[in-house]
Amino acid sequence: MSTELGQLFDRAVSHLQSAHPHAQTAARRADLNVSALDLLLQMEAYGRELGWDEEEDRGATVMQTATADLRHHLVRATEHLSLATRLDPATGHGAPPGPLDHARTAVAAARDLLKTHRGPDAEVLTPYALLLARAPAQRYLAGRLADVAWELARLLGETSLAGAQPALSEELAGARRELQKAAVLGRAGALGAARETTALPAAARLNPLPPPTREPPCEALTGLHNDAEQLLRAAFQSGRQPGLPPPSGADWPHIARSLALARLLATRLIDHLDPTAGLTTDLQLAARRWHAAAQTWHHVVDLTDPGTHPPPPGAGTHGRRPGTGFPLPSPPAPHPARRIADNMALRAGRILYGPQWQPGDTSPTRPPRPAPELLSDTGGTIPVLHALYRISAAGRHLAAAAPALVARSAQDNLVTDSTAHRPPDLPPRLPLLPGPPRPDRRHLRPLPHRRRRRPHRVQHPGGPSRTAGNPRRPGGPGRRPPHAVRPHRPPPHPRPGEADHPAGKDPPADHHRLPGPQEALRRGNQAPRPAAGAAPDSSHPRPPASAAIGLDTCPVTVFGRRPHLPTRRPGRRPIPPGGPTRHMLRAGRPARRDAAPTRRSPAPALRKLSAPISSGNDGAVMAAEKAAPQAAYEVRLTVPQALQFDEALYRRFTAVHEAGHAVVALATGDASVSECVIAPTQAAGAGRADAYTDVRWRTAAARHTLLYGGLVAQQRWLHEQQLWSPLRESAVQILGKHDFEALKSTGATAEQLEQAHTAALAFRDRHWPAITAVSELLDHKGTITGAEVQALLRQDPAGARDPEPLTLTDQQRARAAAITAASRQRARRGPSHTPQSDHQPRQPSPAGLPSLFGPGWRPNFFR
Amino acid sequence: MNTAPETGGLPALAGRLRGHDAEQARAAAWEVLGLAERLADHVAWETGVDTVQALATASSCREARHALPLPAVGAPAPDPAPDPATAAEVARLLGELAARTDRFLAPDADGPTAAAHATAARQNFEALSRSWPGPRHPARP
Repeated sequence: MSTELGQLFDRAVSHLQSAHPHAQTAARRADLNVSALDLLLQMEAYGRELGWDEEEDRGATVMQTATADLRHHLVRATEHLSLATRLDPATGHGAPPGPLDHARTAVAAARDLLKTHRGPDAEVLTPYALLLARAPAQRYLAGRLADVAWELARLLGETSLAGAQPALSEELAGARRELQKAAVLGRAGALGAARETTALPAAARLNPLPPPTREPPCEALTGLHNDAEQLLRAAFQSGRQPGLPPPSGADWPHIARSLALARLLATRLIDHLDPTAGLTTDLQLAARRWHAAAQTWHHVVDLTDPGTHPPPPGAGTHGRRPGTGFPLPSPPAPHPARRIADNMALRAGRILYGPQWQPGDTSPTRPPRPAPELLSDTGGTIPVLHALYRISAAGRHLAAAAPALVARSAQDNLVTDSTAHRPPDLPPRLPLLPGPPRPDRRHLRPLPHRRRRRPHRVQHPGGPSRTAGNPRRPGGPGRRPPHAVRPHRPPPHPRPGEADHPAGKDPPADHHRLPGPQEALRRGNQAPRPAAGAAPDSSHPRPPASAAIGLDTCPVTVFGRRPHLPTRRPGRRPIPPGGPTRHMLRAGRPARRDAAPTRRSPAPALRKLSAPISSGNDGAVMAAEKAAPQAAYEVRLTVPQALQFDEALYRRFTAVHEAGHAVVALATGDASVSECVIAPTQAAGAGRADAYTDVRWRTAAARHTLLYGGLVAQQRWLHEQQLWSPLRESAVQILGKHDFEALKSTGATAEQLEQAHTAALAFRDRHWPAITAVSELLDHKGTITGAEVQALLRQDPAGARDPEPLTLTDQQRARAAAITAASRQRARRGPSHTPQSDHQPRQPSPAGLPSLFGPGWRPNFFR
Repeated sequence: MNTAPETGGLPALAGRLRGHDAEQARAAAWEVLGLAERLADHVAWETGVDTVQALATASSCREARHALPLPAVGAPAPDPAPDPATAAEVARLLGELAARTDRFLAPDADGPTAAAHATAARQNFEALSRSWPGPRHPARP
């Protein structure tokens, strides 16, 4: 079992307590101060990494005030201690590490533990990372840092009284005072902390290894813990766009059957150890539901499976050369969750039947290990129940993620020979099955599936369209599987609850009525159909149809996402008072916390099971479930993810924003523009650009209007390029938050803001060719002066009212005229746009946006 | 599971499995393994059946089928009646399949692994068919 977060903080506190004898020794005082400074720097790093910005968040909420105060006093204490170490520098080199060094190591290890839940780019790897971003978990961290600060303050207090020189004593006393304040304020802010965070483990690595042959039971229990954590992470990462690919159609039945096996063995293990535990009924039901989930894949084949063995592509021009050939399509490797589920079942079986057990080896000649021996090896019933709970908890997360994952993996790859997967509400003009017997060579048919309406889904520009076929399919884009049949008129589909086929008639030979995975997604909690020919078996309760996907989700909630605007806190980044001044209108650099809300499905069945045995690490899982009801598998989108623009397109998008500011500012007649700049930031990659427009204004109305200019320009540009979507609209609003904050800081009334918005829309539409021309020039050059903006605006018939003389050369003027003409031409060619169309958005091109700028678009830069 | 009266499903399948047409034989092997998997899953929770063994049997059948190419001929075999006699017949077909695994494999399949899975499927299914006393409820005609 990996070390938990609370254990590391406890270790740090105990080391600090053991250092008090050293504080009385003057000879070791210098080394102790240096070690204390190192420890303080580690503690201060928490606040920096967790975003406890002492200036940003002060006063916003009680929690933010507390964390800001905590960090503030830690910084002050660091300054005092830094001075103290200069006054009394350490002389000993190579001295053995003392208790404070061990405490610093423990605090640093706790930081490392927190970091394991995020990737190198701070991407979320486990659901615990979402938990840590919430206030209760951060309150816990603040409380534990306050504990360490309190002990360190006591230690420094003793050191300051140990006969040091006055200046040194003063600095040490100052550090003690600051640490005491940090401790008191940090503990005050820790009220309402999620104490379960103390059981947070390090994130498990996704490299499942098979259990060793002779694994002792106690180690097998630890292995079960790790397996559960790995499965949790695999389920979580598979549901996120940049994470693991989802399990394929070959993986799902294997995973489901292995998890059923693990639960069945857990049932036997509990029965064997403590028949009175009373948990076996639920566990057995769980096993049956996972088994039912595996059975739904009987007639479904995933064409991307390793087992489908697609035929090699035919020889082409290159393959005809001697000694060359086409490599075979490389099949995807089995999903890690598959091996993890195997390991779970294997470990559970070996704990019960001994280290030689293998699945399928349950003959009566191999009895379970004697219960007393088993209890002796595992340390009692509680550790066993603890480990078995982890299996259920991880399975629950996988089950909750399964519908979305199946929908992702089943794009166009699944084929079936069963009629059971026909959507019940399929239009009659789209029949699926033949009336007469099918021809022999047409064995399988594509599995129909409907895409669920998911407003958060952003079609990637240039991505494969559905009509173009799936490029991952072995046959290549646009090619149907060779065994797929053309649809024919089907027999009437029975409604839910009806018999599988009319009474007295035998079903057709291929009429297997099994609830398929997609069907189970649709049916939700409808009762399953009885097996044809089998009488109802009252002794075996039949699981609901939702169990076809996963056992532990009843019901399974389909995830949705809606774009939203982040909460803007008043009073942040205020504009200094004093009338109109220079103001940098910034755009770009989207923050990671700009994200859509999240939701998660409940799973009451497992709560009932897990309640009696929740302890230890389980607290962290339960806290994640309880405190993060919006967390689990929903993807939090950053602005670049919402936009789905490549680097060049994002740069143009930013240029349009700045051009909107500049042109609208000049168009008001009461503002002037010095320059617009787009500069790449240090973080390379798409969606990373920093831009600003340097502008002066003379009236408040002009300021309000120009602040709206960037936003409205981006909105029209998205519509014109047929790139508009609700999510991108949300991204536009998020990217314009600096403008909104500036507007708010002006103290303008709602009526004034409405007038300014209307005026900005009017200026935008009147000078739209100029805006597009300025954006093209800015995109090309990176920097554009106010004079160039003015020149481009003068090309516009509406003209500018700025009296400044034109400073462009003739050549530049000619290029500007060409850009303006091209922009007008595009504006005339494209669909007409009116301000009202902001409220009646057009959807993106259904053809998958093969050309982001329309069929006739060509780059038209200054060259 | 569909328990429609068997109209020569298993004998026809056995004939195709033993026939000279390699493509038909591969398709029949695919169907045999699919039938065995469905049958094992169907009887998993029946009285007298070791559920763990049934699940392991179904898993072995699916693993073995992954080594086979996707069938290009034939039609899905009807589900046989779930009774011990059918289980014994399927076990016998699995034995034939395991004995000549190389004949049915895809060109790029891992032969030894596939043979091991087929053998495990046969052994597990034989043990399963021996321990299964039969359905508690008679099949509907």
